[in-house]
Amino acid sequence: MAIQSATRVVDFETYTKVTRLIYDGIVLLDRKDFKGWLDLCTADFEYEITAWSPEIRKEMAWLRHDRAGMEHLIKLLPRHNTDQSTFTRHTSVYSVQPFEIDERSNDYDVLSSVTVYRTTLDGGVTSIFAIGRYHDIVSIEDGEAHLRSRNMRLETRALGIGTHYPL
Amino acid sequence: MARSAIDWDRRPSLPSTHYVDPRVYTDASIFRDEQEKIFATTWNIACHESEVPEVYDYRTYTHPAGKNLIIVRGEDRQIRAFYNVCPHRGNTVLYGPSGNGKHMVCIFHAFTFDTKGNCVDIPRETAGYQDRVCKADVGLREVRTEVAFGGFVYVNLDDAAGPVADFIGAALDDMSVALATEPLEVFSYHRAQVKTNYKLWHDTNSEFYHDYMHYHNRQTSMMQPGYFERRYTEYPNGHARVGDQVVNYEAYEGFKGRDLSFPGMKLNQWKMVDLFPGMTYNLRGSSLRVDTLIPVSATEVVIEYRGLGLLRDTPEERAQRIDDYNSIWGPFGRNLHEDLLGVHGQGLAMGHGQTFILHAREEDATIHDEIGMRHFYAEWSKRTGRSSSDPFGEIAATNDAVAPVSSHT
Repeated sequence: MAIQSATRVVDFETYTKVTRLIYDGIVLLDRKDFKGWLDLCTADFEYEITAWSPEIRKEMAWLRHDRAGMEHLIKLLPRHNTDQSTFTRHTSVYSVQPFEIDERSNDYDVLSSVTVYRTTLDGGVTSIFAIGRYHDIVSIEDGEAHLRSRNMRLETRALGIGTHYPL
Repeated sequence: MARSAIDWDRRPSLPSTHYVDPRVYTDASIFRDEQEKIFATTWNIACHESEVPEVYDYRTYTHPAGKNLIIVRGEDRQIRAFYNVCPHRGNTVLYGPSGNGKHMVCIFHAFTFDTKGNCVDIPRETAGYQDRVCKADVGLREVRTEVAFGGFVYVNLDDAAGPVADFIGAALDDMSVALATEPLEVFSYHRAQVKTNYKLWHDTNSEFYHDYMHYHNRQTSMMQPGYFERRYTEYPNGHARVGDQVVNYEAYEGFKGRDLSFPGMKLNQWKMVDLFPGMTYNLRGSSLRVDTLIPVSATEVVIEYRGLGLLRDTPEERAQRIDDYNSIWGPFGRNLHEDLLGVHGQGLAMGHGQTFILHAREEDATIHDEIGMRHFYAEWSKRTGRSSSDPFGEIAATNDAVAPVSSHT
């Protein structure tokens, strides 16, 4: 059985592995198990949070790290004062599309919508922190899916007091 | 020792300049005074010249005094500012934060304006107005504008105000080489809307004692040579400068020293200037951050953050400056979130039992002295006509009431 995704065809097993990875990652991020989430990523993983600014008419990259940078960021989180509100992500995978070039034949472009809800500790008020899309590259090696890169593409640019956490 | 209700509400045994009544941060009538007596009469940054690089480029801006403005570059390349309101029936002329257009056309009835604020078209003008109203009567309201101090577009609603150079004075002299040697460009813009008083953000920028909040700053600055020798310098009109320091970024795990700088700056050198009533130039080696404040009410503020590099940066240099900037100052940076968490917490507490706010640290004007805040409130009091520790004159009235009657015998 094959799944029609965007303009390409991905076999059902691959589609399932890719989407499972995205959703498993969301569960770990929601739990603030950032180390566990990073374990789902490749050794050459790259992460960024980007947005377009109509004010300055420029692309912006608000957070950009390789795997080592993400490991440092996660390791040092407990040393920082951070808003301890809970962040809950809702994601829908829109498309899974294979790369065309041979040397990247195990990689897939994955596009997902994401809404991040913030729930305060005092009173449990929930509000939308940000909306955007995950532009991911997922790599399947030895039968397992891993996240090779993630661009959290934000639609929301006013993020209140912000956060130290990856989205 | 915990305090009773009486003790809690008792004024500190300190000079009146060394504490602030919390109502200064919550009272709506004080906020209206600030809009009228401070923001409407001082120079404030609306945007940067690099945000309107081409002829006909415009930006919209909410002025802290509550006026919506248009910033536009004309055919003569001059940058001008106008109220963003059509003189006909009060509609907004330009929507959205930026754009480009030879003419500004009000969507309501198509009144049309050029980039000098002249009305150049009124549909069926003579048929409706005969000779009673003409285009010359309905130009836009122009606002005084100067591009200065690093290419920032300063505006002043007060037509009688002196030039911006007089207002800033020598406060930015120590940064002048970095700001004036070559053109700068904004590479990052974001805003934080926080339920807190605007002054609390400026207060945070005006004192470094809160570095205890920042793990990054403790490692890279406070524990490094020179930190406790940094001194404050006060300038007229409420501005203050903090002495510089060379920061050791490598003391924070995973970070490295900055490879880039600004003209006249050593690598990793950090300079900072706070400008009254709500602007901060924060220059850390490879990137400049400039904060501007747009108060929404007494208890809510929009803080704008701009990151700047040199206009001539190569793509590689620019990418490095962007990463350096965002590592601590972006919305996901290590420092900015902590600062915002601080003023957010103050916003939660103010008006809910908060007692007097202390600005009482004296350390020979060095880095943990709170002289920067005291200097701000001296200017604030002068302009509002209110004491920051007694904003409603209650103590003054009490003193008058109990003052001994002088004996004229």
